[in-house]
Amino acid sequence: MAAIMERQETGRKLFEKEALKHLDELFASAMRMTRQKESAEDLLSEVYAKAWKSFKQFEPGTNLRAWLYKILTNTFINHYRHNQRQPLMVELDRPTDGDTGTGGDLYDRILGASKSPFENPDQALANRILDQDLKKAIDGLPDDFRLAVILSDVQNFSYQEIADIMDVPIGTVRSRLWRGRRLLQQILWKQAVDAGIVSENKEGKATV
Amino acid sequence: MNCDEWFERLYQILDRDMDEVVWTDVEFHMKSCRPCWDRFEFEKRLKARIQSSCCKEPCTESLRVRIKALFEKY
Repeated sequence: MAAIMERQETGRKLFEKEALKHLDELFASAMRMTRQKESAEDLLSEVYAKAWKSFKQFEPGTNLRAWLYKILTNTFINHYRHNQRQPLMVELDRPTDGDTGTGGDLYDRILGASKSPFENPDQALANRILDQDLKKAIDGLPDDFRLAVILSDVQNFSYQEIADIMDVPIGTVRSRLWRGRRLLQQILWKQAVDAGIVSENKEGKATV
Repeated sequence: MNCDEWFERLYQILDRDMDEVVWTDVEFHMKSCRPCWDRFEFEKRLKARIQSSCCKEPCTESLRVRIKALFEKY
């Protein structure tokens, strides 16, 4: 009896230690999902309560991080996405082709705007786009695209892992990432124009 | 493989989500086409920037306290 209790106690401690290791990155993801500190805190608190209640179902040797992200994503989709404030939807200047996601994105537009060899898309990204611009752009994505971008670009899960976490076919992951990344670049471009980093002339041509 | 076909696979290339045979084709195209190569390099940098700027955010102290209290409760 004592041995069983001791084993349970060891399991608890181990789970706590392992689960807490992921707290900062889960908080970062929850922030990008909910876009608000208070909601991110409530969401994560619920995630850890769920994880803790069902940790006995968790099989040692399986991926704890992916398991926590599945709980995070499900909890967000089921309880938070309807209550949160709406994203700041950007008015895109040109209509986007729904199938290909084409329409002026950051890369093409900066490339089109380049007048000197010193300003190209890579330099613009390195020197003019701040971390907060990137966060704001992600916050502007619709839910499904934002989740795919967070899981792939931010947290580096594979397509198969994302499909498992979001409970969708792998083809859906591909198309959401495609649309999400294209839209992200369009938002980045719009933000750069609004901030006066670049400007567009009457013909829609940009100058950096 | 031409530029349009290459571009259709841009993000699968970025994430290496393809089998080796197709990868050989896209790599061959990229290495002989400067605009596609530049585009790929840009997407790679953007992905890295998104990751480094957003992957971790220190959890607030109040949340840490809440979560530790949860562990006590259950």
